[in-house]
Amino acid sequence: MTPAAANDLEVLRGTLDLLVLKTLSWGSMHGLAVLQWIERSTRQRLQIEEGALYPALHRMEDKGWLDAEWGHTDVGRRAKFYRLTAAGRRQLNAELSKWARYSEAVGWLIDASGAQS
Amino acid sequence: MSEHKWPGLRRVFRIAGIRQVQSDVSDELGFHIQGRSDELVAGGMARDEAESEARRRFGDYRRIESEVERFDRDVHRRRTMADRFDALRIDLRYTIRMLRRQPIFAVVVIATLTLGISATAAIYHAVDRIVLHPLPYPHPERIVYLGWNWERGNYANALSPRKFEFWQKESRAFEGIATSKGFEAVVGDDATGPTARGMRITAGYLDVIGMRPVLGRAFSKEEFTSAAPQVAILSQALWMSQFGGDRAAIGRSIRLDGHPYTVIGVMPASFEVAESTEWAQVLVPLVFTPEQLADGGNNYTVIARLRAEVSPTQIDADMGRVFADYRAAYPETSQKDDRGVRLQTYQNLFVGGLSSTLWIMLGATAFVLVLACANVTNLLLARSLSRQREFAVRTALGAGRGRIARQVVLEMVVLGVIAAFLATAASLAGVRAIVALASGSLLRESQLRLDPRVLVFTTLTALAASLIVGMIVSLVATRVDLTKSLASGARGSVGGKRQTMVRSVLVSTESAIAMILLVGAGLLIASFARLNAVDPGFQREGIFTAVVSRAPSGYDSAATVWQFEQRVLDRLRATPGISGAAAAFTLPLQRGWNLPMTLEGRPDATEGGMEWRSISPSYFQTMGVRLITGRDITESDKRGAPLVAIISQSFAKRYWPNQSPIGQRLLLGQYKGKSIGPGFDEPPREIIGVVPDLRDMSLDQTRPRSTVWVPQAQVPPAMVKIPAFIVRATDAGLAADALRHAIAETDPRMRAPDVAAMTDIVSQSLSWRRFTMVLMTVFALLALTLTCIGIYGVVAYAVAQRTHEIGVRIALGARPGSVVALVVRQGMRPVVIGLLVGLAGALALSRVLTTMLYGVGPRDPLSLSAVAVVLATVAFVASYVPARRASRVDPLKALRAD
Repeated sequence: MTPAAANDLEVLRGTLDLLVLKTLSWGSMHGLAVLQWIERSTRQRLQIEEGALYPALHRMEDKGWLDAEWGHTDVGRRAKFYRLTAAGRRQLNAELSKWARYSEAVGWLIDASGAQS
Repeated sequence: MSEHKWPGLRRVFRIAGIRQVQSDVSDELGFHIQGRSDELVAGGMARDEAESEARRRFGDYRRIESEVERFDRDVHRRRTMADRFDALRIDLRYTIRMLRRQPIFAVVVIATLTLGISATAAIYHAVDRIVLHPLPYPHPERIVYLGWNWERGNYANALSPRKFEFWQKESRAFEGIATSKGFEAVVGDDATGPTARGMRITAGYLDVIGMRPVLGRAFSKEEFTSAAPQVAILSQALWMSQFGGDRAAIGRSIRLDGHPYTVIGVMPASFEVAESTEWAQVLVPLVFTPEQLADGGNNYTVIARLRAEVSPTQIDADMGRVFADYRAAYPETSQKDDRGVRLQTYQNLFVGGLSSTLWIMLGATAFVLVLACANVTNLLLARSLSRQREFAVRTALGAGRGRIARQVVLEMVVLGVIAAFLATAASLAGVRAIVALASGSLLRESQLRLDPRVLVFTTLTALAASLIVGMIVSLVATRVDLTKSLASGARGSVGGKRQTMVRSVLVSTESAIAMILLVGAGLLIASFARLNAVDPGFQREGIFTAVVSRAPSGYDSAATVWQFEQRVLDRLRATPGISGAAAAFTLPLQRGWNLPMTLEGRPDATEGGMEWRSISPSYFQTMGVRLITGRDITESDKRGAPLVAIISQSFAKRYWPNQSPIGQRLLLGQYKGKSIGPGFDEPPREIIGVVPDLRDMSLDQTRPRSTVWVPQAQVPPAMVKIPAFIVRATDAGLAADALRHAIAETDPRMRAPDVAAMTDIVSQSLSWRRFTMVLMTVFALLALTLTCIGIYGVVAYAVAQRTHEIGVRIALGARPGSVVALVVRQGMRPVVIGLLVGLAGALALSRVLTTMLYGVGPRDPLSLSAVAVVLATVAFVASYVPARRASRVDPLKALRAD
């Protein structure tokens, strides 16, 4: 794992759900794999308190967005695997469109010239 | 699509409990930290360093762990519930499928349960509305009635106006105290038009009962003075019929007996007067005149609302104090023997003996319900035998005994819930039937509606019944011996000794209960028959009566009434086919006046309350009563002539045991030589005749009541009113026509009278006894039918089970007679046991009926043995029919069947 400067972005409040849901949309994974996937696909740029992942996973399971079962990893270790339910998929779409609208709005604000106001 | 994609897997890994939740969480988090540190080690870090680095990156382990556990517990709880619900749904679906496949079974069970539950619910409805919650007012527990207490426990549920005003002024136990008097008045301008029944009420009456007009206002203080303009508050019904429900009716005028009243308010539709059902159509202020206040007669029903915080001792002290003050204030009129005011509840006064009768009936229906349950249990047990194989298969497939038991209970509950629905509807019809049967004002119309309490009762009863039955059946029937049931095929399993025993016990119970109910019914029937055969001392056949409910104006003076009476009697006597006509102040079996009496010159020979009746000449002749001694009242005993009286035989014997009372003189209206009030002063009356004791109070009166008859023409003028007329004729139609015509021709303004045959009046006087008898008989017959079905079911089933054995017997040469005897003997054994138990039960329980019996003791041997014979015969027939079938078994077929 590389320089400390790399993971300098804190995960924005409320976007952890989006990250987890999107990650699990690729298939069933255990918690560590979810985390590794997020690290890899965000090029280590996000700083995540690793433990915080688990309350999020279990909360989403409670809400019915995720389903969980115990299974075995490739090397034969027992781990809890999560996967998206239909409700989770709907939730993911909602979060995605929310995110898109949010970042678009923020983009407008940044691009806006002073004259407009 | 289900949201849970792996329900099967989930169930396999179903976490067994909270402990499992905890270990799962620590496994999962441990896996993460382990995986992370492995990664770091692979990256070249030392093991301990890697582990602490992984922990550091993980964050606050404890907090995360507890947070995760919280979610998991929630998930766990929800899933367990969902699982249970799923299982229940599956069982329910299975149950409904099973029941739909056996509609006859379902219908029989539901019908039997409905019968038992609806009978119980209907009687409970009556008990609830009559005994437990009769008053239609808010906080009914604080409502009391004030009455006057005399020596020897005589009690009048009324006070005189003076006493009422005194207590109203002096007592501190009440939030409010009020009185009322009913009246009937013609509404509108037409004197022969419709009348309304209303009440004059004192100020505060509406506060006491806790009701207010919904439209307009209540009476103001000023309106309770004699000079005030006349005002009225209408009931919803009268408002509708007179003003079409127009809100502008307030302030308009309505005529009552020709006098204009201003309408100031309308009561809500829920307004009722508990103690006088029909008298609530219109309310007007009650203002006492000075003469009324001077009158000592206790003639006003007084109702009061107790203060919320007042204790019984405080009430007693208050009543005692006010009574002492009253005696001090009116020393000349308060009699020494007065015991002052007593408070009574509505239940005590107006429900009284009814309540015990209703509780007894509720007990009877509870028995019927038990019988219904016993029959259902029997039916279910029989069916469970034929389901042994199904149970065995399910057990073999892994269903536990609990699961099968749950299935059985669930099945019963489903049937019970359906029965509860039907029973609710049926019980409402049942209550109406009961009210119709009682032919009296047993329940007000508003009390016949479905009530939440009754609904709860019905539901709980149904649930309890089905749970108990389901439990018994599941305990007995789910003991499945796998190898036996599966090996022996669908038939042939004998059902086990346990089952046979349970079913015998059920039959014994049924017989015992049927016996008890039949004894009850038998005793009531015997009492009723004896009462009907009682000679009341007067004739009832061929006697017809007419009562004018209300006189038109102009009948205020005694002279007009006497003139009217004389003309009607003249007309009647002139009518062909009428062989006798008379008039009387009150008809037999209706209450007359109650007056004290003192013998002239013997102030100690006194009675607190004698029955006082006034009659016209030839009354006794018309009624078929012969004088024992002396002479009858004649036309010459008129006003102004010396006062005379006829007395009853037991009265004569009490005071003149060894001499003739003829010529002796009485002081009516005097107690211990003192007048009870100014209206009752009269000179001594001479006794001119003695008649036998009549049962003219009620047919079942055990002690003859001291009665005095006086001539109509010699009644104190204040007590004169239009009398009832009595004729003797052979033809009912002719008598009715004659009575109607004679009255209408004498005064066309007179309302059409109520004409009744004396036989109907007698029969009406027994209506309550008829009611209890019919009800008890219905319950007993229900019980008999259910028991009969139960016995038949058990014997028929036993025969079916033993076809093979019976076939063998016949093949070996047993005669049909001996087969019948065998089956009947076994069928009758539990019945005989039940009869003996029932006999003991009846001997113990029939005592509660004592007050309802007449002429038979609660252990009347004739009734008991008659009932035993009836029950035994029915039981014999019920087991003989299947036994006959058994004796016709074709041995070849029976043996080949296996």
